Amino acid sequence: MGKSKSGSVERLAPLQVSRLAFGVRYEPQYGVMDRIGAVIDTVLRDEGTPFNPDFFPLSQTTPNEHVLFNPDTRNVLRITHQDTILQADVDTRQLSQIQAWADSFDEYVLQPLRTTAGLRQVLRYGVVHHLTGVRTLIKTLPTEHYLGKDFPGARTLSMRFTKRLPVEEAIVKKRVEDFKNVIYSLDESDDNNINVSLDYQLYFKPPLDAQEWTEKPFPEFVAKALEYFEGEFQTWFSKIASRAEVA
Amino acid sequence: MTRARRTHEAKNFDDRVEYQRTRIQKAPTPTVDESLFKGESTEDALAQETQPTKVSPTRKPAARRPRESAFAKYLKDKWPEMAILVVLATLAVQLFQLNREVGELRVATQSSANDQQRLSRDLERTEERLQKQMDRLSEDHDVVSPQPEPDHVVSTGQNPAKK
Repeated sequence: MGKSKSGSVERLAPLQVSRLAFGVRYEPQYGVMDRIGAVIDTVLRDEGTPFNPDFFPLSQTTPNEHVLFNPDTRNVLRITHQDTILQADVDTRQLSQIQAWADSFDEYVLQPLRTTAGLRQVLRYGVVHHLTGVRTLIKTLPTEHYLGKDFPGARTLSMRFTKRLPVEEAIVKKRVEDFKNVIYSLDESDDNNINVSLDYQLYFKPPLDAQEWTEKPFPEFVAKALEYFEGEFQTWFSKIASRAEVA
Repeated sequence: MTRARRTHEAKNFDDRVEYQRTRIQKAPTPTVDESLFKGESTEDALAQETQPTKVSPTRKPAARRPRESAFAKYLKDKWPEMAILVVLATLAVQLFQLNREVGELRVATQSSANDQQRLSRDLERTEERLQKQMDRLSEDHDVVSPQPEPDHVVSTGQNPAKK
Protein backbone atom coordinates (compact mmCIF):
# COMPACT_ATOMS: atom_id res chain seq x y z
CA MET A 1 0.00 0.00 0.00
CA GLY A 2 1.44 3.33 -1.00
CA LYS A 3 2.02 6.34 1.25
CA SER A 4 -0.97 8.40 2.24
CA LYS A 5 -1.25 11.49 0.07
CA SER A 6 -3.44 13.26 2.58
CA GLY A 7 -0.49 13.78 4.92
CA SER A 8 -2.45 13.19 8.11
CA VAL A 9 -0.62 13.08 11.39
CA GLU A 10 -0.01 9.50 12.42
CA ARG A 11 -2.66 8.48 14.87
CA LEU A 12 -4.22 5.24 15.97
CA ALA A 13 -7.87 4.28 15.73
CA PRO A 14 -9.50 3.54 19.09
CA LEU A 15 -10.40 0.08 17.88
CA GLN A 16 -8.88 -2.41 15.49
CA VAL A 17 -10.41 -2.09 12.03
CA SER A 18 -10.52 -5.58 10.61
CA ARG A 19 -12.17 -4.87 7.29
CA LEU A 20 -12.86 -1.81 5.16
CA ALA A 21 -15.36 -1.15 2.45
CA PHE A 22 -15.34 1.85 0.12
CA GLY A 23 -18.36 2.51 -2.04
CA VAL A 24 -19.39 5.03 -4.67
CA ARG A 25 -22.93 5.03 -6.06
CA TYR A 26 -23.91 6.88 -9.20
CA GLU A 27 -26.84 7.23 -11.54
CA PRO A 28 -27.12 4.22 -13.87
CA GLN A 29 -24.62 4.58 -16.69
CA TYR A 30 -24.40 1.66 -19.08
CA GLY A 31 -21.43 3.17 -20.84
CA VAL A 32 -19.37 2.14 -17.81
CA MET A 33 -19.89 -1.49 -18.75
CA ASP A 34 -18.97 -0.72 -22.36
CA ARG A 35 -15.54 0.51 -21.24
CA ILE A 36 -15.06 -1.73 -18.23
CA GLY A 37 -12.26 -3.68 -19.91
CA ALA A 38 -10.04 -0.61 -20.20
CA VAL A 39 -10.86 0.35 -16.62
CA ILE A 40 -9.96 -3.10 -15.29
CA ASP A 41 -6.69 -3.02 -17.21
CA THR A 42 -5.81 0.23 -15.47
CA VAL A 43 -6.81 -1.14 -12.06
CA LEU A 44 -4.71 -4.25 -12.47
CA ARG A 45 -1.77 -3.06 -14.57
CA ASP A 46 -1.20 0.63 -13.99
CA GLU A 47 2.22 1.48 -12.57
CA GLY A 48 2.13 1.57 -8.79
CA THR A 49 -1.30 0.05 -8.42
CA PRO A 50 -1.77 -1.99 -5.26
CA PHE A 51 -4.69 -3.80 -6.90
CA ASN A 52 -2.45 -5.95 -9.07
CA PRO A 53 -3.07 -9.59 -10.04
CA ASP A 54 -1.58 -10.72 -6.74
CA PHE A 55 -4.17 -8.71 -4.89
CA PHE A 56 -6.98 -9.79 -7.21
CA PRO A 57 -6.02 -13.05 -8.89
CA LEU A 58 -9.52 -13.82 -10.13
CA SER A 59 -11.95 -11.94 -12.35
CA GLN A 60 -15.57 -12.51 -13.24
CA THR A 61 -17.67 -10.70 -15.79
CA THR A 62 -21.44 -10.60 -16.16
CA PRO A 63 -23.58 -8.29 -18.28
CA ASN A 64 -24.23 -6.05 -15.30
CA GLU A 65 -20.96 -6.12 -13.38
CA HIS A 66 -17.31 -6.93 -13.34
CA VAL A 67 -15.84 -8.46 -10.19
CA LEU A 68 -12.21 -8.83 -9.15
CA PHE A 69 -11.69 -10.98 -6.08
CA ASN A 70 -9.29 -12.99 -4.00
CA PRO A 71 -10.84 -16.08 -2.41
CA ASP A 72 -8.09 -16.32 0.19
CA THR A 73 -8.18 -12.76 1.53
CA ARG A 74 -11.83 -12.05 0.71
CA ASN A 75 -10.79 -8.86 -1.08
CA VAL A 76 -13.40 -7.86 -3.65
CA LEU A 77 -13.76 -5.08 -6.21
CA ARG A 78 -17.20 -4.93 -7.78
CA ILE A 79 -18.04 -2.46 -10.55
CA THR A 80 -21.56 -2.21 -11.90
CA HIS A 81 -23.40 0.42 -13.90
CA GLN A 82 -24.59 1.91 -10.61
CA ASP A 83 -22.02 1.07 -7.92
CA THR A 84 -18.32 0.62 -7.39
CA ILE A 85 -17.43 -1.20 -4.15
CA LEU A 86 -14.07 -2.24 -2.77
CA GLN A 87 -13.93 -4.57 0.24
CA ALA A 88 -10.63 -5.52 1.80
CA ASP A 89 -9.26 -6.94 5.01
CA VAL A 90 -6.93 -4.40 6.56
CA ASP A 91 -6.44 -5.35 10.24
CA THR A 92 -5.02 -2.06 11.35
CA ARG A 93 -5.43 0.67 13.88
CA GLN A 94 -3.30 3.10 11.93
CA LEU A 95 -5.53 5.72 10.44
CA SER A 96 -2.85 6.65 7.94
CA GLN A 97 -3.13 3.19 6.45
CA ILE A 98 -6.87 3.56 6.10
CA GLN A 99 -6.29 6.93 4.44
CA ALA A 100 -3.73 5.35 2.12
CA TRP A 101 -6.30 2.77 1.06
CA ALA A 102 -8.65 5.61 0.21
CA ASP A 103 -5.96 7.37 -1.82
CA SER A 104 -5.24 4.22 -3.79
CA PHE A 105 -8.92 3.52 -4.37
CA ASP A 106 -9.33 7.04 -5.71
CA GLU A 107 -6.24 6.97 -7.92
CA TYR A 108 -6.46 3.49 -9.40
CA VAL A 109 -10.19 2.82 -9.45
CA LEU A 110 -12.23 6.02 -9.37
CA GLN A 111 -10.05 8.15 -11.61
CA PRO A 112 -9.99 5.55 -14.41
CA LEU A 113 -13.75 5.32 -14.09
CA ARG A 114 -13.99 9.08 -14.47
CA THR A 115 -11.50 9.50 -17.29
CA THR A 116 -11.78 6.24 -19.21
CA ALA A 117 -15.41 5.33 -18.64
CA GLY A 118 -16.70 8.92 -18.42
CA LEU A 119 -18.39 8.26 -15.10
CA ARG A 120 -20.26 11.18 -13.52
CA GLN A 121 -23.46 11.97 -11.59
CA VAL A 122 -22.23 10.61 -8.29
CA LEU A 123 -25.00 10.06 -5.76
CA ARG A 124 -23.21 8.77 -2.70
CA TYR A 125 -19.85 8.14 -1.04
CA GLY A 126 -19.59 5.50 1.67
CA VAL A 127 -16.99 3.88 3.91
CA VAL A 128 -17.60 0.97 6.29
CA HIS A 129 -15.35 0.22 9.26
CA HIS A 130 -15.74 -3.32 10.56
CA LEU A 131 -14.30 -3.68 14.04
CA THR A 132 -12.81 -6.65 15.72
CA GLY A 133 -11.78 -7.53 19.28
CA VAL A 134 -14.88 -5.83 20.60
CA ARG A 135 -15.99 -8.66 22.91
CA THR A 136 -13.14 -8.12 25.28
CA LEU A 137 -14.02 -4.47 25.65
CA ILE A 138 -17.75 -4.83 26.37
CA LYS A 139 -18.61 -5.73 29.92
CA THR A 140 -22.29 -6.56 29.41
CA LEU A 141 -23.50 -8.59 26.47
CA PRO A 142 -26.02 -6.70 24.34
CA THR A 143 -28.55 -9.50 24.71
CA GLU A 144 -28.42 -9.03 28.44
CA HIS A 145 -28.49 -5.28 28.38
CA TYR A 146 -31.17 -4.72 25.75
CA LEU A 147 -33.27 -7.87 26.18
CA GLY A 148 -32.49 -8.98 29.70
CA LYS A 149 -35.78 -7.80 31.17
CA ASP A 150 -38.16 -8.08 28.20
CA PHE A 151 -36.80 -11.23 26.56
CA PRO A 152 -34.56 -13.18 28.91
CA GLY A 153 -32.55 -16.01 27.51
CA ALA A 154 -31.98 -14.43 24.12
CA ARG A 155 -28.99 -15.98 22.36
CA THR A 156 -28.40 -13.58 19.50
CA LEU A 157 -29.10 -9.95 18.76
CA SER A 158 -28.74 -7.75 15.70
CA MET A 159 -29.16 -4.03 15.98
CA ARG A 160 -28.94 -1.48 13.24
CA PHE A 161 -29.69 2.19 13.79
CA THR A 162 -29.10 5.23 11.67
CA LYS A 163 -28.77 8.93 12.06
CA ARG A 164 -28.56 11.78 9.58
CA LEU A 165 -26.25 14.72 9.88
CA PRO A 166 -26.41 18.04 8.03
CA VAL A 167 -23.78 19.12 5.50
CA GLU A 168 -22.39 22.63 5.62
CA GLU A 169 -22.84 23.28 1.90
CA ALA A 170 -26.49 22.25 2.13
CA ILE A 171 -27.11 24.55 5.09
CA VAL A 172 -25.78 27.50 3.12
CA LYS A 173 -26.70 26.96 -0.53
CA LYS A 174 -30.32 27.14 -1.59
CA ARG A 175 -30.49 24.26 -4.05
CA VAL A 176 -28.12 21.83 -2.40
CA GLU A 177 -29.67 19.10 -0.25
CA ASP A 178 -26.66 16.95 0.61
CA PHE A 179 -26.64 15.10 3.90
CA LYS A 180 -24.60 12.53 5.81
CA ASN A 181 -26.00 9.22 6.98
CA VAL A 182 -24.34 7.06 9.65
CA ILE A 183 -25.36 3.45 10.17
CA TYR A 184 -24.34 1.70 13.38
CA SER A 185 -24.51 -2.09 13.42
CA LEU A 186 -24.10 -4.26 16.48
CA ASP A 187 -24.35 -8.00 16.13
CA GLU A 188 -24.03 -10.58 18.87
CA SER A 189 -23.70 -14.13 17.62
CA ASP A 190 -24.52 -17.40 19.28
CA ASP A 191 -20.97 -17.87 20.49
CA ASN A 192 -21.00 -14.45 22.19
CA ASN A 193 -18.87 -12.94 19.49
CA ILE A 194 -19.73 -9.28 18.94
CA ASN A 195 -19.32 -7.47 15.69
CA VAL A 196 -19.62 -3.72 15.45
CA SER A 197 -19.44 -1.63 12.31
CA LEU A 198 -19.83 1.96 11.31
CA ASP A 199 -21.08 2.86 7.83
CA TYR A 200 -20.45 6.54 7.15
CA GLN A 201 -22.14 7.88 4.02
CA LEU A 202 -22.43 11.19 2.20
CA TYR A 203 -25.39 11.68 -0.13
CA PHE A 204 -25.24 14.25 -2.92
CA LYS A 205 -28.31 16.04 -4.13
CA PRO A 206 -27.96 17.20 -6.86
CA PRO A 207 -25.53 14.51 -7.99
CA LEU A 208 -21.92 15.51 -8.62
CA ASP A 209 -21.01 16.15 -12.22
CA ALA A 210 -17.51 15.50 -13.52
CA GLN A 211 -16.05 18.80 -12.35
CA GLU A 212 -17.68 18.70 -8.91
CA TRP A 213 -16.42 15.18 -8.47
CA THR A 214 -12.83 16.41 -8.81
CA GLU A 215 -13.55 19.14 -6.27
CA LYS A 216 -14.93 16.66 -3.73
CA PRO A 217 -12.35 13.87 -3.84
CA PHE A 218 -13.09 10.58 -2.15
CA PRO A 219 -10.00 10.69 0.13
CA GLU A 220 -11.24 13.94 1.71
CA PHE A 221 -14.53 12.25 2.47
CA VAL A 222 -12.69 9.34 4.11
CA ALA A 223 -10.70 11.78 6.24
CA LYS A 224 -13.98 13.21 7.54
CA ALA A 225 -15.26 9.71 8.16
CA LEU A 226 -12.19 8.92 10.23
CA GLU A 227 -12.75 12.06 12.30
CA TYR A 228 -16.29 10.88 13.02
CA PHE A 229 -14.99 7.42 13.78
CA GLU A 230 -12.53 8.82 16.32
CA GLY A 231 -15.04 11.23 17.80
CA GLU A 232 -18.76 10.59 18.00
CA PHE A 233 -18.59 6.88 17.26
CA GLN A 234 -15.94 6.34 19.92
CA THR A 235 -18.05 8.29 22.41
CA TRP A 236 -20.99 5.93 21.82
CA PHE A 237 -18.83 2.84 21.97
CA SER A 238 -17.22 3.97 25.21
CA LYS A 239 -20.63 4.15 26.81
CA ILE A 240 -21.65 0.62 25.86
CA ALA A 241 -18.21 -0.69 26.66
CA SER A 242 -18.11 0.74 30.16
CA ARG A 243 -21.68 -0.16 31.06
CA ALA A 244 -21.92 -2.07 34.30
CA GLU A 245 -23.69 -5.42 34.38
CA VAL A 246 -27.44 -5.24 34.58
CA ALA A 247 -28.60 -5.78 38.12
CA MET B 1 -20.42 22.43 -12.25
CA THR B 2 -24.14 22.13 -11.66
CA ARG B 3 -25.92 25.40 -11.36
CA ALA B 4 -27.13 24.49 -7.89
CA ARG B 5 -23.57 24.30 -6.51
CA ARG B 6 -22.16 27.11 -8.64
CA THR B 7 -24.68 29.68 -7.55
CA HIS B 8 -24.16 31.53 -4.30
CA GLU B 9 -27.86 31.92 -3.66
CA ALA B 10 -28.17 31.29 0.05
CA LYS B 11 -30.78 29.43 2.04
CA ASN B 12 -32.89 31.68 4.20
CA PHE B 13 -34.08 30.68 7.64
CA ASP B 14 -37.19 28.90 6.35
CA ASP B 15 -35.13 26.96 3.81
CA ARG B 16 -32.78 25.77 6.53
CA VAL B 17 -35.66 24.70 8.73
CA GLU B 18 -37.15 22.81 5.78
CA TYR B 19 -33.81 21.12 5.05
CA GLN B 20 -33.51 19.96 8.66
CA ARG B 21 -37.09 18.75 8.68
CA THR B 22 -37.11 16.89 5.36
CA ARG B 23 -33.52 15.66 5.05
CA ILE B 24 -32.14 15.26 8.56
CA GLN B 25 -35.00 14.58 10.95
CA LYS B 26 -36.84 11.32 11.08
CA ALA B 27 -40.18 12.17 9.49
CA PRO B 28 -39.73 13.60 6.02
CA THR B 29 -42.73 14.97 4.15
CA PRO B 30 -44.46 12.48 1.82
CA THR B 31 -43.61 14.58 -1.21
CA VAL B 32 -39.87 14.07 -0.76
CA ASP B 33 -38.53 11.31 -2.98
CA GLU B 34 -36.60 9.10 -0.59
CA SER B 35 -36.19 6.17 -2.97
CA LEU B 36 -32.51 6.85 -3.48
CA PHE B 37 -31.79 7.49 0.18
CA LYS B 38 -32.99 4.33 1.86
CA GLY B 39 -29.86 4.18 3.95
CA GLU B 40 -28.80 0.72 2.86
CA SER B 41 -25.25 -0.35 3.42
CA THR B 42 -22.32 0.94 1.40
CA GLU B 43 -21.43 -2.69 0.72
CA ASP B 44 -24.70 -3.54 -0.98
CA ALA B 45 -24.72 -2.97 -4.71
CA LEU B 46 -28.08 -2.07 -6.22
CA ALA B 47 -27.62 -4.06 -9.41
CA GLN B 48 -28.34 -7.77 -9.17
CA GLU B 49 -28.19 -10.25 -12.04
CA THR B 50 -31.65 -11.62 -11.56
CA GLN B 51 -33.39 -8.35 -10.92
CA PRO B 52 -34.19 -5.76 -13.56
CA THR B 53 -32.50 -2.44 -12.97
CA LYS B 54 -34.68 0.57 -12.49
CA VAL B 55 -33.70 3.15 -15.05
CA SER B 56 -33.93 6.69 -13.79
CA PRO B 57 -35.38 9.15 -16.26
CA THR B 58 -32.80 11.31 -17.94
CA ARG B 59 -32.48 14.53 -16.10
CA LYS B 60 -30.02 17.27 -15.52
CA PRO B 61 -28.81 17.36 -11.91
CA ALA B 62 -30.48 20.61 -10.91
CA ALA B 63 -33.66 20.32 -13.01
CA ARG B 64 -36.61 18.30 -11.76
CA ARG B 65 -39.00 20.51 -13.72
CA PRO B 66 -39.22 21.58 -17.37
CA ARG B 67 -36.13 23.47 -18.37
CA GLU B 68 -36.62 27.20 -18.45
CA SER B 69 -34.58 29.62 -20.46
CA ALA B 70 -31.54 31.17 -18.90
CA PHE B 71 -33.13 34.61 -19.13
CA ALA B 72 -36.35 33.47 -17.43
CA LYS B 73 -34.35 31.81 -14.72
CA TYR B 74 -32.22 34.90 -14.29
CA LEU B 75 -35.37 37.01 -13.96
CA LYS B 76 -36.86 34.58 -11.48
CA ASP B 77 -33.75 34.58 -9.35
CA LYS B 78 -33.05 38.28 -9.51
CA TRP B 79 -36.54 39.80 -9.52
CA PRO B 80 -36.03 41.96 -6.38
CA GLU B 81 -32.92 43.50 -7.86
CA MET B 82 -34.67 43.96 -11.20
CA ALA B 83 -37.64 45.67 -9.51
CA ILE B 84 -35.32 48.07 -7.69
CA LEU B 85 -33.50 48.75 -10.93
CA VAL B 86 -36.76 49.56 -12.74
CA VAL B 87 -37.83 51.96 -9.98
CA LEU B 88 -34.45 53.68 -10.01
CA ALA B 89 -34.52 53.94 -13.78
CA THR B 90 -38.00 55.49 -13.66
CA LEU B 91 -36.85 58.01 -11.07
CA ALA B 92 -33.81 58.84 -13.16
CA VAL B 93 -35.94 59.43 -16.27
CA GLN B 94 -38.33 61.66 -14.34
CA LEU B 95 -35.41 63.56 -12.87
CA PHE B 96 -34.00 64.05 -16.33
CA GLN B 97 -37.34 65.33 -17.59
CA LEU B 98 -37.68 67.74 -14.67
CA ASN B 99 -34.19 68.97 -15.27
CA ARG B 100 -35.01 69.64 -18.90
CA GLU B 101 -38.15 71.55 -17.98
CA VAL B 102 -36.19 73.65 -15.52
CA GLY B 103 -33.71 74.42 -18.26
CA GLU B 104 -36.45 75.45 -20.63
CA LEU B 105 -37.96 77.70 -17.98
CA ARG B 106 -34.61 79.33 -17.44
CA VAL B 107 -34.24 79.98 -21.14
CA ALA B 108 -37.72 81.48 -21.29
CA THR B 109 -37.04 83.66 -18.26
CA GLN B 110 -33.80 84.86 -19.75
CA SER B 111 -35.58 85.73 -22.97
CA SER B 112 -38.19 87.74 -21.07
CA ALA B 113 -35.47 89.63 -19.26
CA ASN B 114 -33.80 90.48 -22.55
CA ASP B 115 -37.07 91.73 -23.96
CA GLN B 116 -37.56 93.84 -20.91
CA GLN B 117 -34.15 95.42 -21.28
CA ARG B 118 -34.76 96.11 -24.90
CA LEU B 119 -38.07 97.78 -24.12
CA SER B 120 -36.44 99.90 -21.43
CA ARG B 121 -33.82 101.12 -23.87
CA ASP B 122 -36.48 101.91 -26.46
CA LEU B 123 -38.38 103.87 -23.88
CA GLU B 124 -35.34 105.88 -22.94
CA ARG B 125 -34.61 106.70 -26.53
CA THR B 126 -38.19 107.73 -27.05
CA GLU B 127 -38.05 109.98 -24.02
CA GLU B 128 -34.86 111.58 -25.29
CA ARG B 129 -36.38 112.24 -28.67
CA LEU B 130 -39.45 113.67 -27.05
CA GLN B 131 -37.38 115.96 -24.88
CA LYS B 132 -35.46 117.15 -27.88
CA GLN B 133 -38.67 117.85 -29.73
CA MET B 134 -39.96 119.80 -26.80
CA ASP B 135 -36.73 121.77 -26.51
CA ARG B 136 -36.85 122.58 -30.20
CA LEU B 137 -40.44 123.66 -29.95
CA SER B 138 -39.71 126.00 -27.11
CA GLU B 139 -36.77 127.58 -29.01
CA ASP B 140 -38.95 128.18 -32.02
CA HIS B 141 -41.49 129.92 -29.84
CA ASP B 142 -38.85 132.27 -28.55
CA VAL B 143 -37.82 133.44 -32.07
CA VAL B 144 -41.38 134.10 -33.31
CA SER B 145 -42.39 136.14 -30.29
CA PRO B 146 -39.35 137.93 -28.93
CA GLN B 147 -39.77 139.00 -25.42
CA PRO B 148 -40.38 142.82 -24.97
CA GLU B 149 -37.69 144.72 -23.14
CA PRO B 150 -38.85 145.44 -19.74
CA ASP B 151 -39.87 149.20 -18.84
CA HIS B 152 -37.86 151.22 -16.42
CA VAL B 153 -39.07 150.56 -13.15
CA VAL B 154 -41.20 153.65 -11.90
CA SER B 155 -42.09 152.19 -8.71
CA THR B 156 -39.13 153.84 -7.03
CA GLY B 157 -40.59 157.42 -7.63
CA GLN B 158 -37.71 158.96 -9.50
CA ASN B 159 -38.57 161.44 -12.47
CA PRO B 160 -36.59 160.26 -15.33
CA ALA B 161 -37.01 163.76 -17.14
CA LYS B 162 -35.23 165.64 -14.45
CA LYS B 163 -31.96 163.94 -15.17
